[in-house]
Amino acid sequence: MQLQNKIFKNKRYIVLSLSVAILFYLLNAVISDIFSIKSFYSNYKFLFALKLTYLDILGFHNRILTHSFVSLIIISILFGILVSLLTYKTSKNLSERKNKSGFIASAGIFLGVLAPGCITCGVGLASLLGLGAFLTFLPYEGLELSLLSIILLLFANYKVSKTLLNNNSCKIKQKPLNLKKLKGGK
Amino acid sequence: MQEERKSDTITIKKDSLWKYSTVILGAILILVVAFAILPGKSTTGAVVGTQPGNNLPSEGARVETLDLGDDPMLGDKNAKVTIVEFSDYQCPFCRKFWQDSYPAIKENYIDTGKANLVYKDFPLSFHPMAVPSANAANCVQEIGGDEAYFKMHDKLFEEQNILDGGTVSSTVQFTEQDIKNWAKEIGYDIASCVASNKFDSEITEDFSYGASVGVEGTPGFLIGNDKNGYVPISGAQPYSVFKQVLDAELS
Repeated sequence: MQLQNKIFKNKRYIVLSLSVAILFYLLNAVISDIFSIKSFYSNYKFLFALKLTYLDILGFHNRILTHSFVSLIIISILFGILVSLLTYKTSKNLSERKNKSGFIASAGIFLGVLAPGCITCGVGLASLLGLGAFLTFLPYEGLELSLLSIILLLFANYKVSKTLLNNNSCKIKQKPLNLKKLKGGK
Repeated sequence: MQEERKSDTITIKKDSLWKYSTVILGAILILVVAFAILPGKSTTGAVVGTQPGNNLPSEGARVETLDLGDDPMLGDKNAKVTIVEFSDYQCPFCRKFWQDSYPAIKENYIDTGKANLVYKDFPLSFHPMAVPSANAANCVQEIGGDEAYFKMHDKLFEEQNILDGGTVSSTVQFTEQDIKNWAKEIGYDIASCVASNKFDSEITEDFSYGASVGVEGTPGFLIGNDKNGYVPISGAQPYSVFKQVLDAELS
């Protein structure tokens, strides 16, 4: 938390987080209704189609189920925060010997883009792959994947924060000094 | 011996493993985004994919004419604009449309004679009660006409909303007995009709027809008339979108 307070004191990172979160949300809003949006631009003049697209995006929460909408909002926010943390890390030229958090972040982002809500709601790229019908056997129709994504993103945020706090130094485990060894003895 | 052991093992650094995995995930994401740009499937509501057909309209293009058949119609048959709805009675998004947008569309366009609504069945394979519900609604129409049909249509969605806790949060499970009871509550005994499954072929025809005109998910709409063609719209759109499209088609 103290690290995030430190980073987000700089308004640039707040703007970056919000921008990424909003973009991610908008991407899902558009993807979930790409068919209708294509229809608008095929059948009406550009400005009218733009108006319809705007209304379509504005009414996105009406087109999906509530739990899916909540899940998408959470993933968008976590994604935005993670991007800011990673940007900060890059700007400080901090490299990491162990890249586990990089993979977890990627996995979290991947799942978040793939299934930020229930797939049959039409959100996420998995629905474009036609996985909606395939995943309806799941009790929450694919929402489980978004929950996994949230967990991974939370963990990735935590891991990246920890790396930044430690300034990429390895903590020495405190052991009692062995004076004999130091003196060259056995 | 030690040299032999070394040649049998492959060493992968942990750092490299994480990096390669990240790159692979990123590549998959890029491929999926590229796939999204290509003509693809409808996403809102369930995805069914298109059936092979001879005259599939290009994606998003107007459908020139529609065969409305003897499907139930709500409103004035001479209305300038027709809203053709392809729907699945067990689909939560169809229920969402019914709950959120349908009342305002009915009040402002159907009841005022500006538009009418034709309901066509588009049952999805993973909604087991979709076909029985469609059968039941058609049974009621056989007895009481189009007005009775839409009473049963409303009843089916209303009862599912009650089972769903007064909201639309998931696909609701119910039985054939439930459907028969609901029909009785509005004054129609359809037990023998439902048992005969006499409308199965008609429902299948509706589904095939919907797929042939480009419907890929539910709810799917085609709005317009035979003169100007029908604009395809997919999903439980907010009323504001329907209003704009209906006003544009009416003008």
